[in-house]
Amino acid sequence: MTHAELETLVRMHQAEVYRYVRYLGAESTSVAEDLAQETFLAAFRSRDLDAPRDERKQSAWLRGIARNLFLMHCRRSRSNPVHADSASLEQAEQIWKQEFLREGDGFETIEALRRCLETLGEKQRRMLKLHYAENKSRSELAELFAMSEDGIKSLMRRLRGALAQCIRRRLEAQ
Amino acid sequence: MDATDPKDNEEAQDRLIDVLLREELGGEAPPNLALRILKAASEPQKPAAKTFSVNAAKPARWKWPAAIAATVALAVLCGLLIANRRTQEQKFSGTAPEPAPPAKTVATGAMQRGAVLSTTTEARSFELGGYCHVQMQPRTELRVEGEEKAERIYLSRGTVECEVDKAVGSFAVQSEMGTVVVTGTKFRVRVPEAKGGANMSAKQMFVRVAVGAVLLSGAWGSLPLSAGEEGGAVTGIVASKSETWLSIKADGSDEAAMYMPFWRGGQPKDGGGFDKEMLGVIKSVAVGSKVKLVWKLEEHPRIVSLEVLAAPERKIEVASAERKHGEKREGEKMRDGEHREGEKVRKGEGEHREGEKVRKGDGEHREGEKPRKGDGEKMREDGDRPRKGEGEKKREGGHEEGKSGVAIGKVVSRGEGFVEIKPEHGDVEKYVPRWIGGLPHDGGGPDKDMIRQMLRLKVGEWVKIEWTADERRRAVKIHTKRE
Repeated sequence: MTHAELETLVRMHQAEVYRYVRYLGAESTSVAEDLAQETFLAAFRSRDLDAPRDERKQSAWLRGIARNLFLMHCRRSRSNPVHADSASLEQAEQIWKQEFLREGDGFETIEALRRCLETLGEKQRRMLKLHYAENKSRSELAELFAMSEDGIKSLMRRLRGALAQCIRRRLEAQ
Repeated sequence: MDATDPKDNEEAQDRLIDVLLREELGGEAPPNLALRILKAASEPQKPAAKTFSVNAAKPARWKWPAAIAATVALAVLCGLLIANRRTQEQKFSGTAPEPAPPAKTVATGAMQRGAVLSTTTEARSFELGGYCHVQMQPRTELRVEGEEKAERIYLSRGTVECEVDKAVGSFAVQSEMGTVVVTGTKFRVRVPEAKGGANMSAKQMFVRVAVGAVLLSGAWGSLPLSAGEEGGAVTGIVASKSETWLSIKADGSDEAAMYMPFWRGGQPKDGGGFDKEMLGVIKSVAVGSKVKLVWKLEEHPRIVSLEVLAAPERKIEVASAERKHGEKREGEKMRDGEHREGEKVRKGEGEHREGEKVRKGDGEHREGEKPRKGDGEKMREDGDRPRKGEGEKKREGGHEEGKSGVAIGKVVSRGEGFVEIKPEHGDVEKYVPRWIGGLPHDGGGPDKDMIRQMLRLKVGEWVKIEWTADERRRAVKIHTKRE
């Protein structure tokens, strides 16, 4: 693989690889960036032995490398999230393919999420915005919305579940 | 764990939506990693975290390429915002007095032209001419210049944010590297502080346009930028290069940033690729040269123009990328095709006089031209046996001619016809198969069994290699733990 080919590979797949390692459980943006970088470097250093030419196969190949690197990262850093074993990572891969890659490269999914967010109530949207855009912790949200922390936790989870359902419906309707 | 555990399914789905929400609401957009990946790919293998400093938390929508971010220790920032977005702080401004109206400051009142303002740990804001509101960020230094309705500031270091009503007058941000003149309404400029403190001059300038257009100009020419575009200029030393990029260590900076040609013509399968003329220019510029480069961001900084200010002095500090491809060592002589100070320019061979602007196309091979020194190395990787006495340099292994030995180390990379081994102590060494069977037309070629054995090696695996030196280190036998 030449540097130009590597650049093409990175340009085509970096967003997905970054999202994927974050999804697998990379604990911070910097860890996700490092893992994504290592994924492409490992692909590059394989010297074309395994590199597929088909875009979808490339994507699956890179995700496979990323899973291995993530597993190694978890073992090395002794961070041991529940999902960090090879079987559950495989399962995570299945979900990724079924949900995120249901339509092409995943951009349809993001577009669907955007539309689903518009359907939420004002309070729900505000809660999500405070959490994701303003990094409000669960305890801060609990105070703001006069709820218990557990209540916030389960409400957020239900919201994400509802969004997942909504995204699924929208993608199926397309 | 059950691979189809519904609870795990639910958790995975939850994580997936979580990632998407972080992106959609939290601005955690996937970063552009191309630059750092390409740079790391050109360097000897090492952990990613050590290749580049990890980006600190910053607004994701404004992420600069990692290499540039690493270059910028402290940046100057100037955003000129449209008049209808003036902040409340403008109420502190007064009417511009005649004939040379003093600028007003929020904190300290009137301020004369020529005044040098600096901040330490706190931000500060002031008004110029009644139509330009300037906010200085911590560790910023500037000088107030210009005249009525043609306000100008000279930034020496730090960060400023400005709001300008361009209908009232013009506004310019000047630094040693050039001037940004408002022809649009909203942009920002960064000039990193030079290493060594405020007395050193910064040799970089970054511009990003949000709305409208600006003209970034300097002694090097001018670069118009419109909405959504970023560009800049840098003066420094070529720290390293490969076929497709070069990195420049700006004067006053410890870190090098990478620049590459524009991409032309779509995907490689459609015939797309790097701008060939600029590739020729890159090829012609020697590592160690002092250059002035103007760039524009298209995913990463692309080279608009490149001017060689001075050729390297006698010795070149060889960059890792060149070591990898050319296997040169520090202190080796320049190759043909690289610039020597004072030498006559021969168009097409990539040589030019000091100070002459490199033209596109210079430095490219002519069709049918014989390979120059250094090109032979590529031939070797392709399996062709290099002929002695064609002006090729003595390579690694050349000084060991006839010797043999045993090396133990970890496989860092391998491919068709080579393996790279990193011993526990020492640098990565490359081994190639022996040549057997005479000349190619007699059926000679690299040892095919060894090629196969090299391909079976796994990266990270410990191996013992028995080698003999015949121009390069050639693997005679490879032992692995699996055997």
